[in-house]
Amino acid sequence: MNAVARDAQLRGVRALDLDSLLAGAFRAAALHMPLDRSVAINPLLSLSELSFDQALTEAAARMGVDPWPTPAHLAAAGVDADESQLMPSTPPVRPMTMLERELGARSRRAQAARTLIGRTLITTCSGDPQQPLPLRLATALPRTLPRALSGRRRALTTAALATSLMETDSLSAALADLPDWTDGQLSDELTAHVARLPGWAAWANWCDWSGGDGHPAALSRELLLALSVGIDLLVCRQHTVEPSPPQPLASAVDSAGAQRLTALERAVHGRILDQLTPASDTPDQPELQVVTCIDVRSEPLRRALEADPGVQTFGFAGFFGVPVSIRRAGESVSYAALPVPLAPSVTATERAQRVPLDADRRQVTGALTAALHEPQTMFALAEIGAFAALPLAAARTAASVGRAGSAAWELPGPYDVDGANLVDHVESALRGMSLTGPFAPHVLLVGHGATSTANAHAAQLDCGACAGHRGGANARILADLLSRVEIRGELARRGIDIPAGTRFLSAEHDTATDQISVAGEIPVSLRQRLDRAREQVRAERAVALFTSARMVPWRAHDWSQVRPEWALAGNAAMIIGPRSATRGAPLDGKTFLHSYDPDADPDGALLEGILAAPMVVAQWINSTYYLSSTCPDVYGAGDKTLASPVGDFAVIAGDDPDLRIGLPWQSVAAGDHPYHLPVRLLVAIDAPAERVRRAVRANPQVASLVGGQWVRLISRDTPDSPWQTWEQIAHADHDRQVQ
Amino acid sequence: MSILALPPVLAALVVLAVPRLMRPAIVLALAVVMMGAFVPGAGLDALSQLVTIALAIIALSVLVFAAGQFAGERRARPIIAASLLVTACSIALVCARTPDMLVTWWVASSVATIALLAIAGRGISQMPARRALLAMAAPDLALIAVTAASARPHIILTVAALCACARAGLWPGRSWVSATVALPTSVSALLHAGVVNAGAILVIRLAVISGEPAWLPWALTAITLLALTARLPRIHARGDLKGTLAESTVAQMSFMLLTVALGFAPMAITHLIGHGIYKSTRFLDSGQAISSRAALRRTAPAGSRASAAHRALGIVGLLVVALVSFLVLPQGARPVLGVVTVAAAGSFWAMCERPLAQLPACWLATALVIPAYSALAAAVGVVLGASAILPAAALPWWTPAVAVITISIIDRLRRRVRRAPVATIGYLPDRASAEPMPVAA
Repeated sequence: MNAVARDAQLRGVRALDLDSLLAGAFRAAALHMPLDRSVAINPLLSLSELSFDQALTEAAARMGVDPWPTPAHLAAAGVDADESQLMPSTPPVRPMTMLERELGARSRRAQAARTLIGRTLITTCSGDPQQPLPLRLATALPRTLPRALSGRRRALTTAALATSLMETDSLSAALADLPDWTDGQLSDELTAHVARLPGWAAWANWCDWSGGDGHPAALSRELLLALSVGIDLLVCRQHTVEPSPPQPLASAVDSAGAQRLTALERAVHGRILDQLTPASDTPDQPELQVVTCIDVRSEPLRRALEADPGVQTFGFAGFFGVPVSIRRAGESVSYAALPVPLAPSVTATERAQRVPLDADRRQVTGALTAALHEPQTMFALAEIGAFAALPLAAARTAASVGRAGSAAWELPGPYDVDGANLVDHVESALRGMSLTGPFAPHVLLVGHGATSTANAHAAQLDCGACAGHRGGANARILADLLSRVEIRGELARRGIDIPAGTRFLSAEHDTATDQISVAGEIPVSLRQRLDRAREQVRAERAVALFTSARMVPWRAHDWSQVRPEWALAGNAAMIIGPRSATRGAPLDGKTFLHSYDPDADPDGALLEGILAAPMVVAQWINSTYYLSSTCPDVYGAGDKTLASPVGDFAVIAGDDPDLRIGLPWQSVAAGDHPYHLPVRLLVAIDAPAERVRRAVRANPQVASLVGGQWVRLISRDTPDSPWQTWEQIAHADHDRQVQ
Repeated sequence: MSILALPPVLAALVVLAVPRLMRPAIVLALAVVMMGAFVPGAGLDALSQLVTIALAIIALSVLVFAAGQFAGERRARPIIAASLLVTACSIALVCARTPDMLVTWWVASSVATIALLAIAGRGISQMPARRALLAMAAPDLALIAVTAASARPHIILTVAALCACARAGLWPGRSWVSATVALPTSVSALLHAGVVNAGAILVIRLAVISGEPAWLPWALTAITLLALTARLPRIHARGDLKGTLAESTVAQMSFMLLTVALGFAPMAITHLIGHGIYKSTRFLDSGQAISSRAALRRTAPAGSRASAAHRALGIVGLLVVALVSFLVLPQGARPVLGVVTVAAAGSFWAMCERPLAQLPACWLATALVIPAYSALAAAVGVVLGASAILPAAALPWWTPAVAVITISIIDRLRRRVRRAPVATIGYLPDRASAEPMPVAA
């Protein structure tokens, strides 16, 4: 028994297993990363030990959402649904907190309490980061409580609230006020508090999950619930109501919804598989090799480049295999430029070639903006700023219009790279992308990022494998390492012989403008190839954006644009195999493509690695899009035109006090018409069934994703053999064992 | 006179009928308004011309933004058409000269505003429309009544002043102005930049026509000062960007009506235009805050906090700049000069509170503001000329500056008082440093 539990017992308070209470309450809570570097994480990560259907059902009961595709999604996919699928499902109601149960969820008091909690948190988390969070929280309580809470005679005051919160200074103390409740009832109660403010819950959930990452607004799950339960209890008792324990959560599978999902998947996945033609030829002596991110937006680019038969392309995780944390010139902190599940072991510092003017300008404007809300300054400085800003804004617009047409920008860098085992990272990167020779004279590593203006959700358009940053830096770091003589020498000893004439170049694909800028000088012929590819990709994207190709790049510089690009909307499948199996197939920017050469991986170690990291990341992206389309109000950010930034980590919608997480509605739909079709990720692998089976079972997380049907895994032994589903793959093994 | 309201009305019809021509219609209509303001036969005076141009610029940027943001959505047509009607009514109000026309267009713009709130709130929230209706209905109806009854000009002016306060959201409690943040960005931007400030025009016009009763300026001063001190804490209490902007609008409007009450009409008009441009830009640009704040956080504060000597030197320097401006600039610049000197000194002081490598650059920026803004306001005064000379302008030039100093001292004191009891509350310990969670045996 530890000290806290002993202390609790001495005080006559029940020792609670807070860890498991919190874990239970936050089971269906998403994880919200700070918006400036937001990366998609499976919103139902805590439920991933369940099967997909069970997890959705449980999330539906806990959050009061309908997580299945709607008839509108079926219509958008052109699926003729039968009547049983169209049966309207009654969405479960959100579990109610004690206050909502006693006074009614729509009562003014219950709503005022929710607003009070949310507003207090907003003020707290956007306050002066110099002060400790609990102090900020205390100062953030409003001066006067709304009349609905305080009662007609102002019986409840801020002071009383603060004092009471001070007495119940933690969640266990707040819960100790409910001695008759069973642990199950307490857990259900806390679940209702999470569902009342799912956005704040997602923020606290990420802060606890990741350790907060030193974020000044980091909020713990316990603090959030202590505030929420504390205020509910107080208001209940203020109105002389003793809260009664909640009813157990009831959940039932929505079979019509599950049928709709199956029908939708059959249509969407079927169309993708139909496009996969048997192996086509790849060049034996390529003139140019291009490695892109597995991101679905790389597929049209690769297809466009391959219109030229001398070009060979590869797909690999966009951080290019070097687990690096990057520090940009003029900045005081570095960022981990790699997928969230990994940890950096290499550091890269940008050599400041240019004077970081940006940093200076940022400081001056930051200081001026901070001063603008002081009463003595706001009445004069704000407007003079406006009079000055008018010509500035005009100039900026003109400049951005000019930029939209220009060919390229300068990639940041070069970097000083420092770390152990650099050769190991480089070797495993090359083997992972199946790029072990023959090498073309030019090998282009293409990262990606997106330009957008006045876009609170800008990082969602950047590279997820680079932790929500632009990926050009990562490409440049690997290209520079591959240019080092000592590294090439060591690689040659390990069997990867790079000819002296081969040049590794780094580039960045701007997925909003389709510009591809390359670091350093490049031959004219290469530039022309890239420009041709740009035009083709742009023309393709223009159709999906309902605009003309000429207007596409303008969207990136238009501050009113809610949809600079469709980003990963439409993602539906991941294909792991040699490019020969997909080359030439018009996959429409809907598939993640990871290069994999089954012949070069007899022991299955490469496949295991691909399933354990890139596939998991693709599944996280897929499920984020899935839930943002099916539950835009709880797991999605809703209408983007209402977004109002809170600090630098989140937005709220209009004047609702809850944070909005996930993707905005405009990222998954156009007006009332769904664009993203919510389906699970189809993982299609070109490898022998036996190897696939071993690779899946090697990693428990992968095994539960595949076994729990979070992804639909299929494989084929050779490009000519039929696809086998995971059930068939697993059963074949079972049958063999039985025999 | 109010014919300039016609182009936006026509544009609204085009938007409803042929949505494909939305952007050209908006641009064309507002370009016509801008040019029309200078047609000699239009009979506009300097006040109308100046504010019409400003309104057209603001409406142009906001509506083109709205057309982009709502592109392809069904709500685009009704919201933009209603916004154009609001713009038309505001322009007509600005161009009106007789009390009857002023009151007519004032009420029309109130109705159009509530309609816009209701249309934009469909499927989102009808709270802003309800609040606006509650706030504006009674004073506007009273205004119609007293005008229809041909009451004495002083009574009409008094009711108009109440209408102006209602429009600016000055009443206690949550005002309709701050409720508008529940609606899409462009709607908030238009209302905060081009509608809430119209009260100043109404009051200035009526006051110039009728002359003010001696007590009205003092009553208006009292109301606006009270609203100001009541509203300021809310700016810091909001936290989210649009909410903060909305609360600051109410404070800014109180200040603008205060300068009207004190008789400094040119200053109020400068403020009205500047605030309109500033607020609409901040609203439309609000999405940028995430990346710019994050970038600022990542940037190393390379410098250290300014020493007391540097602070004193900076303040003295600003005072010298102010003194030179005082001697060089015309007399009309002085009321603004006082306020802007206080503002510059205050912002410089606030900047010194944090470590900053670029203190000289910040000082220079604030120092330049003093002559620039004073000269600008003086120029506005010259342009307005006789069209905005208020009878009450007998107060000395330093009155607004003293008002600002008083307000900010009150705000400081309140914040200090507010912090004191709370600092002793150690509740909710920082979990990072606290004991591990209890685990059940």
